[in-house]
Amino acid sequence: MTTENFLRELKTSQIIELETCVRCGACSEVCPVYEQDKSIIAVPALKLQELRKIIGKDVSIMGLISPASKVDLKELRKAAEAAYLCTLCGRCWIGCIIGIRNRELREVLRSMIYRAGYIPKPLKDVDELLLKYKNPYKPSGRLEWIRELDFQIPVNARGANILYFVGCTSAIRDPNIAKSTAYILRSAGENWTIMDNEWCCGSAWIALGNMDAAKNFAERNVKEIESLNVEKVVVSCAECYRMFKWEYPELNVNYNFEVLHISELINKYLNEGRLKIGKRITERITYHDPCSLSRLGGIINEPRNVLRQIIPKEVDFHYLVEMPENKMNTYCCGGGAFLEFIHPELTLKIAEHRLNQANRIGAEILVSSCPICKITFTNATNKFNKNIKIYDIVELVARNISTNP
Amino acid sequence: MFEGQIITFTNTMLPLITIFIFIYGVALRSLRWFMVWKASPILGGLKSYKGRRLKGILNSFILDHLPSYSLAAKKDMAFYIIGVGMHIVFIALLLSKAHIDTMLALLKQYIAVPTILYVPKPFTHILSIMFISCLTLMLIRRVYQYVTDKPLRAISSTGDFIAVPLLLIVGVTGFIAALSSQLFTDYRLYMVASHLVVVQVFIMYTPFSKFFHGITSVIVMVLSGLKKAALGGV
Ligand code: HEM
Ligand code: SF4
Ligand code: SF4
Repeated sequence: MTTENFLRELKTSQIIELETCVRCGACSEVCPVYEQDKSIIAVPALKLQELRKIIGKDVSIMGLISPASKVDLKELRKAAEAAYLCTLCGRCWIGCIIGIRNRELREVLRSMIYRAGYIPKPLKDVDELLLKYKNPYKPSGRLEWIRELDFQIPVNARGANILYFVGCTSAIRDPNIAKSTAYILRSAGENWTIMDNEWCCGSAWIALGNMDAAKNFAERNVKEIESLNVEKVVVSCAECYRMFKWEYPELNVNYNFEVLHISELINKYLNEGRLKIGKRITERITYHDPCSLSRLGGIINEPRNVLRQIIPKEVDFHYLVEMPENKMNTYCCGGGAFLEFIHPELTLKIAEHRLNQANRIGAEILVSSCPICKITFTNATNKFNKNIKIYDIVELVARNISTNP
Repeated sequence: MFEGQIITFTNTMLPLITIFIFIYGVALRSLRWFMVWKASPILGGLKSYKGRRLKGILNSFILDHLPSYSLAAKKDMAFYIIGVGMHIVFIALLLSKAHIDTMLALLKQYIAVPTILYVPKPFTHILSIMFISCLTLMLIRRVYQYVTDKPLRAISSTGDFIAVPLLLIVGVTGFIAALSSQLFTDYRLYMVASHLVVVQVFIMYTPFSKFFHGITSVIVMVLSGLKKAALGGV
């Protein structure tokens, strides 16, 4: 593998970004991983420096004059630990005064490390599961949640209005989210379906660093969905949303359906009166923006609009409270990009920091709209004995709708 | 006689070398961008960037830098004020009478240039002092973090310790040159000449150093602004 080979993995704009970093360190001030870990290799800009070293020619007179050098595989091995000490939350982008998209450069660094075979040990299992079973968690059981429902779900129905793309985490690790979403779609009287041969949306591959596989999975999912001839695809996972909406086009995988996050759809149902809220919640709620949905996905207002309709109307400012770091500036739950598998303690520490923010504003319920956030926060509440309830937005809605067709 | 040679060197010979090296450096650096151009055009992925593009770009140059919006400012206000302050003062100084007059004198040999508004003299002294102080504080911050094992230790390269002192010398020689019109007037020529030499070293060094971010950051900011616009965050 020569430098030139690796150079081709970078977009021109990314090379410019690498050369633009002024090493001011602002990104480390905002990085949740560095804030909680404090080890030097967690500094976001350091990972840019590693990448610069790997593509060979540093920005110097000598670097510019000398011909492309061979990539030193040892450099890749060294960079591996730093590259995977990151949740890919993207806060470093917002924190960088110039706006360098550090996170996307991390994806490139990971893809180089993956190709060289230096991914951290705990991720080797994930790699194998993904290859064999098309999900990062376990060999089977993707559709088990359906059997636990007391109503029938239309599977592989052609020409439906909406296809619910469940996603690996909702289907396998937190099926309550899948069940609640199904209940909501049914209650709204939607013409919908699910597919029985879903593969991972590809976000797990990107987190590992296998861009080719991510593209393969994307193409395959799109092909299967298009064969069902549905109008819209709705997802209940922030990662799936980011993938379908933003990464698929960047991977050059185009599709002919509309992609929605479930909160957009619920918001629409509530506005159209297709869903009605029965009992309102009179506990203080705070909404945690999942990084992949807000900062990296652009869905910020819809979940809040939904929550506003679940709480007492007149004094919504009392029942729906914002944490100081929200929307585009949201703080990571700590569970992203498999950090949870590599450094479980660190993940919990990041989650605890966020839970403390929620505690400080007196929130009794923390709502998210991503199964990974929910799982991470639930683990942290149990571990640190926090007095706060954790829900996904679909669970709250499903619990409180009054229509029951 | 000797004075004439100094002026010829700083005003006629050195500028040619400076411009040559600057263009050569910029060409070399952008060569790498074009090396990967085919595989991934600069606008790769931008097709899907819809939304309020102009507003996104304007935001990333203006709004995102206001203290109430900037996450960096919220995390470390002192660093933010010093860093942003240095840049504003730097641009203001370039608009001072001495700089504009010099530029106009050079350009007027070739084309007709209208008179431009400039920052009046009494302010430039204050600006110079602010510029030198901000840069000194930035250097202190870097050295402090370096010796105490903070993030900048991990990311600083040798160039970081050359760039800021070099710009400091630019500022200090400029300040002295400005003062020499009233104080130590006997040495005015030497003061101005030394500033001219240091400035040209700075320009020659730009394509090979972090100063290049002055050019590339504009591209990065545009792209980042477009991304935020596409996301609907603006
Ligand atoms: C759109 C334009 C620019 C942006 C967004 C930008 C951004 C930045 C940022 C974020 C820093 C770090 C600040 C800090 O360490 O406190 C910085 C440092 C610096 N900038 Fe700029 N800059 C721009 C243009 C320029 C220009 C035109 C120059 C002049 C050549 C310049 C010279 C410097 C210098 C000397 C430093 C100090 C580097 C250090 O701390 O080692 N910048 N810039
Ligand atoms: S993406 Fe998030 S975790 Fe990773 S370096 Fe940036 S701020 Fe830190
Ligand atoms: S904030 Fe931006 S410019 Fe500063 S060190 Fe981080 S990536 Fe580089």
